[in-house]
Amino acid sequence: MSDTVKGKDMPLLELRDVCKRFERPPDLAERIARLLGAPGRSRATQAVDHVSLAVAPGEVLGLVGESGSGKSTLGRIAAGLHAPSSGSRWWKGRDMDAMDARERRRTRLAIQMIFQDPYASLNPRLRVVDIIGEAPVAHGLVEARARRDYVAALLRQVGLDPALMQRFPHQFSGGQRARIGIARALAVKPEFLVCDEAVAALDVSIQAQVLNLFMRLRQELRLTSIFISHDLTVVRHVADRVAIMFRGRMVELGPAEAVFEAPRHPYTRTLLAAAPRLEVGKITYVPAAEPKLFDRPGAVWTEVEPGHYCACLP
Amino acid sequence: MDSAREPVLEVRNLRTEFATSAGVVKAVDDVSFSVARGQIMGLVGESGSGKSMTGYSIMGLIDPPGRVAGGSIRLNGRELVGLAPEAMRQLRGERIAMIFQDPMMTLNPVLRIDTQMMEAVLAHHAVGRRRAREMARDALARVGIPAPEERLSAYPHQFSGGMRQRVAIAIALLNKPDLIICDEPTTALDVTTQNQILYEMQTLCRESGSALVWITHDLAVVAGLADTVAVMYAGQLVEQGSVRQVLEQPRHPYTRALIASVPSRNPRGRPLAQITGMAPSALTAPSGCRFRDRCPRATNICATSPPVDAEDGHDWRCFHPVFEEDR
Repeated sequence: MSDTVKGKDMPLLELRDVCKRFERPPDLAERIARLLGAPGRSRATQAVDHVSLAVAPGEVLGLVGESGSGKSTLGRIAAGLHAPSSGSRWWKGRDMDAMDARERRRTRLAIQMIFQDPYASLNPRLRVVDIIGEAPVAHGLVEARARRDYVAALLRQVGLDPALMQRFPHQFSGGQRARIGIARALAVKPEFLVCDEAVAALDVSIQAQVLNLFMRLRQELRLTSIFISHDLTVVRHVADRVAIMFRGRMVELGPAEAVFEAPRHPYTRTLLAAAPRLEVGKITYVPAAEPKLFDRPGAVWTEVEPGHYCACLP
Repeated sequence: MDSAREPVLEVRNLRTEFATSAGVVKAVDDVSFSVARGQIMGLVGESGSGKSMTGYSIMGLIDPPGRVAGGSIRLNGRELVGLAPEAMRQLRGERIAMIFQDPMMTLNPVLRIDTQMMEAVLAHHAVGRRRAREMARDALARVGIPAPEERLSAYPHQFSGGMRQRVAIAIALLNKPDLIICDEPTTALDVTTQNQILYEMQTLCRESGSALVWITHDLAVVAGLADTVAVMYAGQLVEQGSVRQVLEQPRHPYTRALIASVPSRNPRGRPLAQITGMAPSALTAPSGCRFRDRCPRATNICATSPPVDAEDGHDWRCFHPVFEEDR
């Protein structure tokens, strides 16, 4: 499986053949059973299974899948929060495992993550000025005495009143917290954002505001991003390309228009058919996403049309 | 909508209030609607709009400091407001049932499914344990749980999220209630699971003749599922009518703006039509029309309470409703 953006610039971030296995340590009963000579059962979960992905500068890549598809794990690998079990991450054409400590730190700052839960992802005991201002000062991007002005400018950029910087997270609404989370990610001047369900917890009208903010910042700051969501309409709206994941594997990847208008993989078709549409009419029954229907042994990653890939049976 | 059908549920001028240190919060203010046999009504609103409180009020689940302060809730003509707690308890689980977003609100984690389901049957019917178990098994089969006989002796944690929600639905359906209130039961589920549950609920409701109130923030879910829609904003119903009327010819500026802000109604990659500001709580809502400080059509008159206008069973609470000709 390879996905290189042909004829374009070098990808900003590239994941090559990454896997992630999570192993659960044996519990007490199992350890005793093993001591007594019982064969140990494997408790590993293959969350991400040989996925390759390249994100071009300035691009928004949508990552879609249901729970357990590995989309969040892949996002966390991209953001450097998980180390892949195998495979490599490349930043601007450099293998991140081969980087020295300084370069690796710079790269880590350049890739930031925005989390789903606007409640759990902000420290409730810190004021907004500290939540946003801590990292840029610690990394020497801003001098300590310029911190307040810096935070004020960021708050203005995400549409919040700078006068609120002395407040605590619980004094804000969900939409405002989402903006604080975005300001915190932007504070270290990243080039790349991983947004994991960043608008999923918000009401429809607030979601529209935050999506507009995201699209505006993308233009202003020329940000590249991976946008993870289970909501197909949101991904269709913001993403240039879309990757569909199913049980740890990527099953389809291509320009958003092509994947949504002419999906090739049966799982993508199921997902699109099952998503509720804002059109008056009957619900069409879509059979369950049974793994046996979509786990296609022997499937080959094929370019079905320029830039549109699918795990196809030969 | 068949207006000749007797309504199962008739809510008139319902008011639910909470006494707080900041004053009396009118969580539900002058809400009226009705649902007929076999009919599905979508109750739509953003967080804090009072949609769940309307559901809890019908179920008689408002605890102090909250109270149903006025209006009437009739189930098959019988008044529920002011009913003695014991009489209400007899109705709950028998004639009216509720399904929550989190199925673990319904399920007891330390009891097997059969124990819990049989308890729900035996509380309301004079049948033997064997018969109760059969009814439980049939209910599981009805909601699409494979191998219901074996699954009866499982514990809730042995089910996936979607299956657990199906069990909660099966329990709600056990006594073939006249009315089922669903509070966002598919919001936490994957789209394919949601699709199946929506389809099954629609079919079951048509077959059994139960009336359904489906509380959600998701207009797209309502579009496929419901017959009628009621839109709530800051404790009040601002618009209601058939799905087609409300979603295709919204009259209230809020409904219009809400529909316009959905990504699929906007050209790809372009800024979304957005409503400025945020939805007020019932405490901070302005007097008169509650939407007026976010409304592009608001004028001075909106500071007074707007009238409810109606046309062909479609009604809206607005001084400046949107008609085709003003678009």
